[in-house]
Amino acid sequence: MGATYTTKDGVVLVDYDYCIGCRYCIQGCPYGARYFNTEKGTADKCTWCYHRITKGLLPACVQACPTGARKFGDMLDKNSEVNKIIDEERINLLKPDLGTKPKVFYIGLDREVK
Amino acid sequence: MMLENLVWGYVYPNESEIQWSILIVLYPYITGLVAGAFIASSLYHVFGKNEIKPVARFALLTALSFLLVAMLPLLVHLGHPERGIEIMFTPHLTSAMSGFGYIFSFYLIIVVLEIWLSFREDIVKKALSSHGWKELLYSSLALFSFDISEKALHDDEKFARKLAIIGIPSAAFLHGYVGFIFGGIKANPWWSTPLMPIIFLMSAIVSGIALLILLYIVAMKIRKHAIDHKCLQSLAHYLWIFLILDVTLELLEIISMKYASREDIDIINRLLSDKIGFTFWGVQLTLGILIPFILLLMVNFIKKRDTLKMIMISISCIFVVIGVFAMRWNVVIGGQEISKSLVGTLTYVPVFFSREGVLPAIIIFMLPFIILRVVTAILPPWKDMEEETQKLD
Repeated sequence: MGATYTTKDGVVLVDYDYCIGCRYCIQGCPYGARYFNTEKGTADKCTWCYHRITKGLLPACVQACPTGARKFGDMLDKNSEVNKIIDEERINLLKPDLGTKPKVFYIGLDREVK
Repeated sequence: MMLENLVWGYVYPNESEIQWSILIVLYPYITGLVAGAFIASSLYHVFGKNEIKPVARFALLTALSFLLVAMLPLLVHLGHPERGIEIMFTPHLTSAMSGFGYIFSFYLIIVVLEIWLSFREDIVKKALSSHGWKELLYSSLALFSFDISEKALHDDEKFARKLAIIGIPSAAFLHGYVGFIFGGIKANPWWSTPLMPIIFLMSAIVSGIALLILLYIVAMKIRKHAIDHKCLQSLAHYLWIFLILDVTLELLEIISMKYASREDIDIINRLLSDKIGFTFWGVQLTLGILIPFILLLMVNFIKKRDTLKMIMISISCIFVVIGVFAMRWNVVIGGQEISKSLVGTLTYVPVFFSREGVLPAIIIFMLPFIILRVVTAILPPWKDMEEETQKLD
């Protein structure tokens, strides 16, 4: 169907008017990032608060985090804070062997979160 | 039931609900029966095994009856069934799921054409000898072409044979594809294996032949017609051969998983010993393969005593169809009972009354039998046999 698409700014979203709700993508996600939205009858996922970030705001979880453990930014911008963190800190990915090239990076992660 | 009893270890927050229910167990099960019944009919149509002839046309009608229902469990399961057809018009080819509509439709056309050619002579004769709405029905089924000269029938047969030759890879592709849907999910260690399509195919053939044998015996009992024991035992022989291929592949998968012992082996072991321990070792392998294998082996050694052999074959077939259902269950449900975290398990609790519950599954599974009853009434597949018996009388 192709109800899942990548926006020009790099965010993966689900088109709720297009998704048939077969849930194959939920089975395919190695991170449990997708779920079935019973109200919409479609697959769903974190949108990085697309309604906020397109207005220049941060995702709600980043803004609400009391210790600033979460960072969000534009990887296409070479001078952005997130790119500096990726360049300078010891960062890791979850399940890198699956070749999914995730855009969520963890700082100082010795092993996967369990 | 409390959530703590259903979840063990660490699971991702979104995983608390099992997404693919008993309906998705039913889907590969029904598709497998289609592929198996079709391949059984090709033993006669393509490979010229004349002893299978009595059930060859019946096998085609069985394949059709189940094929017409095959997409129903999927459709009922969709979050938006009304959009289901769009998978054909706006396919996204990077998703294995997008191929279903095309493969299903292509195969349906092959089966319908094959049936039409096998029954064309009967249809034309019925059209010419009946009146009123029956005449109209059979004339339309004959597409208002009433040529049953020897040459026309010969051409039919030639074309039907060619079609059946295309039909075998199509049947294999239809069910191999269903296996690939699971085998291609790299996120799930229980599914992700290139063996999956061929395991699905072998178990499909096994279940299809077993179902065909059972339906044939029941149909003959209902019609109070003698059973062709040569045909029955020949089918049982093929069932035995495919059982060997099936169990070899199924065990090969488990043995290589255990021998390689990759990082996911702990969760696989837990799945096999705890979550699906009984349905895998007990139902799928022992009841569904080992016992039928021994019974069918004994049938080969018993001389005469056709009724005893028939009983042994029937029991084997009942066990085989139950065993293959357990196999589908162990794949579909088992695969979802391990968390993607690989350090936790979940539990599927079937619900009876719900859109994805046991009740709709039972209703959907009864439909092909009703369709088969109607189709065999319109196109009786037993004609050849009866004429031959009459001649003998």
